[in-house]
Amino acid sequence: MGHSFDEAFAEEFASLHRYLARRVGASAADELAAETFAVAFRRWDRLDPERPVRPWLYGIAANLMRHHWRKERRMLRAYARTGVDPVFAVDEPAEDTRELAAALADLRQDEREILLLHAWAELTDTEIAAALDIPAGTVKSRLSRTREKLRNQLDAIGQEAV
Amino acid sequence: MTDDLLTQFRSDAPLPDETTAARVYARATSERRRLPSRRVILAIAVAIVATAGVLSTVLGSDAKHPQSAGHTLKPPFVGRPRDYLYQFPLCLTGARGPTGSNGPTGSSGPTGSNDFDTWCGGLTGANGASGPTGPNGPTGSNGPIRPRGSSRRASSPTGPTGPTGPTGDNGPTGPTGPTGPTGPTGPTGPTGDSGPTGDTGPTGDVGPTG
Repeated sequence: MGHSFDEAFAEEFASLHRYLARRVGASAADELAAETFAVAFRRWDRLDPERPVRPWLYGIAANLMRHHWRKERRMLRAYARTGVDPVFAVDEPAEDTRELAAALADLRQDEREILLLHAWAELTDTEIAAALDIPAGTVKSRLSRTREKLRNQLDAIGQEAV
Repeated sequence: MTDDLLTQFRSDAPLPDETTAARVYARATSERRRLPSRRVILAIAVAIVATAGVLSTVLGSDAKHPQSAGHTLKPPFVGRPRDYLYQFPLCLTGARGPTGSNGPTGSSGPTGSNDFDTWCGGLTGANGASGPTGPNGPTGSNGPIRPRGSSRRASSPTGPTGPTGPTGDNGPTGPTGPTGPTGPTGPTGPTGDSGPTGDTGPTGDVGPTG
């Protein structure tokens, strides 16, 4: 590894910011990204050079996100209800995206965390386990269960819509 | 299917621009400069709290045990005969009592010594009564208080002696009585002027044993 902080920032900032912005909005994403990298900057000397930076950064962000999970749920529900993306202006939001927002809002916090780290941050099971400091087997089983739950909810919402 | 939907949902969010990146980078890296001041503030706060705690503990114990704090003795028994009962143990432990009153003018003995040790056994065997002593010199100040538990025989630090008054001519001394056991001598007060020596009186009583 042997990354410098600046290299890590250049490589990870854009994707981390987009991940956070999708979850809690652009202005909160600025705050959270700055806080995440500030924590990383302070702890940089103590980071194991062999440890990958990416899951470590997303782990810091996940800890900070715990103060925002209600806001995230509120935004998802608003999006599902109104069809207006509270984060970004989208010309014509697709109907299935609204259903997805509704289904995501109904997930538990830990379920949503694992699912979105996988789907939006594109972390592997092992990286999610490192980020959240839980066993990889737990990640695998929770991810599978959450996907199943989400699928069922989407089906239920689709049937209601029909 | 679900993953595709999720990816599409995320793709609605644009990537941040350079300005945002520069602003976030500046904020993140400026945290280190702010960090020492936070730590200093925290350390100062902890020090203040610790000092306040120590002070409150010390002052609290002073209020509960004023004697152990080494300040004042309660004065209600000063001046009453039974007060010796209270003060004698203090002499044994080396604490000095309150300032003794000057001896009566005209009789020799421990006149002029305000040290309480004199009361507690420092009296030498009474001398034969001398003639009337001249006026006492200025009173010497008491020495520092000896720590409790130290032997009364232990040498106590001598307090500063007051200025010595002018010495008058000594008259002839009367016959000296038997000397009693000598107690620890306290700081000697200044010698007063000796007045004209009177007639030699009878032998004085032996003072309390030291």
